[in-house]
Amino acid sequence: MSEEPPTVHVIDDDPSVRDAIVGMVNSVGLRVRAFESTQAFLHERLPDGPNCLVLDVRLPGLSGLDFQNELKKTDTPVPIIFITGFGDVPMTVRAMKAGAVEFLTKPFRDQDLLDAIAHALDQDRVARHERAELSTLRQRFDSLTERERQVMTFVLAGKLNREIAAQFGTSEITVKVQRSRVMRKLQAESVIDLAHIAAKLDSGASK
Amino acid sequence: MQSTAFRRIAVQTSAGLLAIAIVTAGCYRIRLGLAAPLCLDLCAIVILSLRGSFLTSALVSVVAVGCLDYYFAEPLFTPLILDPLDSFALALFLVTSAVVTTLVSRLRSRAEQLTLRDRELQERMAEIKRGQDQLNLARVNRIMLMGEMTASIAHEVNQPLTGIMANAGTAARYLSRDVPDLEEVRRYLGLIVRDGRRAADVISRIRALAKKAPPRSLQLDLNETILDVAKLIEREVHVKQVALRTELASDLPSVPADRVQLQQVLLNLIVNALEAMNELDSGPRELAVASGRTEFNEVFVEVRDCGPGFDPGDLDRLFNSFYTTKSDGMGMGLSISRSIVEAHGGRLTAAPNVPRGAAFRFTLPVEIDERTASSR
Ligand SMILES: Nc1ncnc2c1ncn2[C@@H]1O[C@H](COP(=O)(O)OP(=O)(O)O)[C@@H](O)[C@H]1O
Ligand SMILES: [Mg+2]
Repeated sequence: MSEEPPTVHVIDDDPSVRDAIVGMVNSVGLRVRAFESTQAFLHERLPDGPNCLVLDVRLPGLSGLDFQNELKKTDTPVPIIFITGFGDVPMTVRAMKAGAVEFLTKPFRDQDLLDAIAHALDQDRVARHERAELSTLRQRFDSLTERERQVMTFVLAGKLNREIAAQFGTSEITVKVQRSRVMRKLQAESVIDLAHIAAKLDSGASK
Repeated sequence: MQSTAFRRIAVQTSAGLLAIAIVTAGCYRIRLGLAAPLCLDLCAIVILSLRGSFLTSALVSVVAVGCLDYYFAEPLFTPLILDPLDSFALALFLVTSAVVTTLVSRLRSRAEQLTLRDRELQERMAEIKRGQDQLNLARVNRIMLMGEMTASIAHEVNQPLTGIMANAGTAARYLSRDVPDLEEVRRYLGLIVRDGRRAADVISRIRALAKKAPPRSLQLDLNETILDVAKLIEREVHVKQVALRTELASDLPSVPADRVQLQQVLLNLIVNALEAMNELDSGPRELAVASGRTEFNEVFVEVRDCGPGFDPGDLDRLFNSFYTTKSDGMGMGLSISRSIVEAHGGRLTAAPNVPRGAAFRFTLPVEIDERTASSR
């Protein structure tokens, strides 16, 4: 799977601010895309690489904070850096609680924004990695048969092959074969490994 | 009026005569000499003089002297003949009455003067207080106007400033590369100049707005004022996705009015309209500002919105100070606006808009009416 380079998305309806941020991000060699409105942003396909969003809180149409809520509902959440002309405290608190990476008041120091962008891209890189890992694990898990899943549950519960065979009323050999198939399909090298994989699948499902 | 004065004189005279009769009868009964009734009569006359007129006292004095002469002075029971004693008593009584009544009337007129002065003083004080209230109102005015404008201005200046700072950083970054990219440096310096010019424009616009105009007497083009204010709130309107429509009469005569104050009235009405449409989830967000002439040699300006409007029952209350239905409202906007408009001899009224929303309209006389203008 080839990954696209990191992309910074800037949404601001004010040309002075938008152009300046685009230039700043460009000058440090990052790919940047600019939008006048949240709608325009939503029309574009999100590149398949680390992304982050630099967003003006006060925008025509869907306000920055509402947009943040909308975006959180999708399956590809993008880290958001808010910029605002009104550094008002309740808004900051709301945005932070909703998971904004950073909240910068205009005019901001350019290094502050660049740091925030780097941080946000890192965060998205990690999140993407986790998402990708989880989805392969899930694919592997989905390839298990019903019986194999049951065997896996018993193995994780610390049961011996003999006990499992008695439970199912089959031979110990059969259980042994099923068990090794589970390990192979999930690419687990040991029972401990299997436990780790199960935990990851579990936490991914609960998200 | 005259009959009550007459009645009072009659009552006082009768009371005086009755007192003399009692003194005479009493003293005669217990056989006192001349001195006692003389003193008592004198007392009665002094008391009478304190309350009544000299005429009453004089009449009663003559009767008293008659009685004294008849019942107490030798020879007894002879009618009044002016001997030295009688003359003395009569003179005594008359002088006493005269002195007392003059003193009393002088005191009374002094007292009247004092109450008059007091009333004047109170009126003056009330006037001063009213002036102070107006001054306070004017101060609140300024503060509100400043508050509403500074938010707008701060934003307007902040945008290009943000651009300038970021572009300067970018230019510096291209400059400090191993091989400086002068093409890019030039480009971002150009953006800095553009944003700087934008900031300067904002400043000059504010300066034009704040230009001190002497109150009134200045001929004001209301259409121009409307456009000034529209420019000021352009961004607010844009952010709130409101369609602002102006319907300005082309033949609008200028009116004698204070420019800053009328800007404030307009700003208040428009801000209210925008706030009213804030709560709107659906439907058009239209704000219309219209100007025109009335048939009474007045000009009018109307601000109409498509908000929820107001309950007709609240119509009277809207313009009260501190009446607000907003959690962060101050309730001063409409009350200040109305006092400004009325100080210019005009009227500010509210009505429902068709098909929905509210319409606020004010009129201003083209010719200032000295009476209404100076009474404020
Ligand atoms: N355009 C409007 N539409 C509906 N209600 C309005 C409008 N303008 C004013 N009002 C009502 O009048 C009240 C008083 O307005 P105002 O004096 O400007 O004070 P404030 O805006 O601080 O509340 C508002 O709170 C609102 O209830
Ligand atoms: Mg208001």
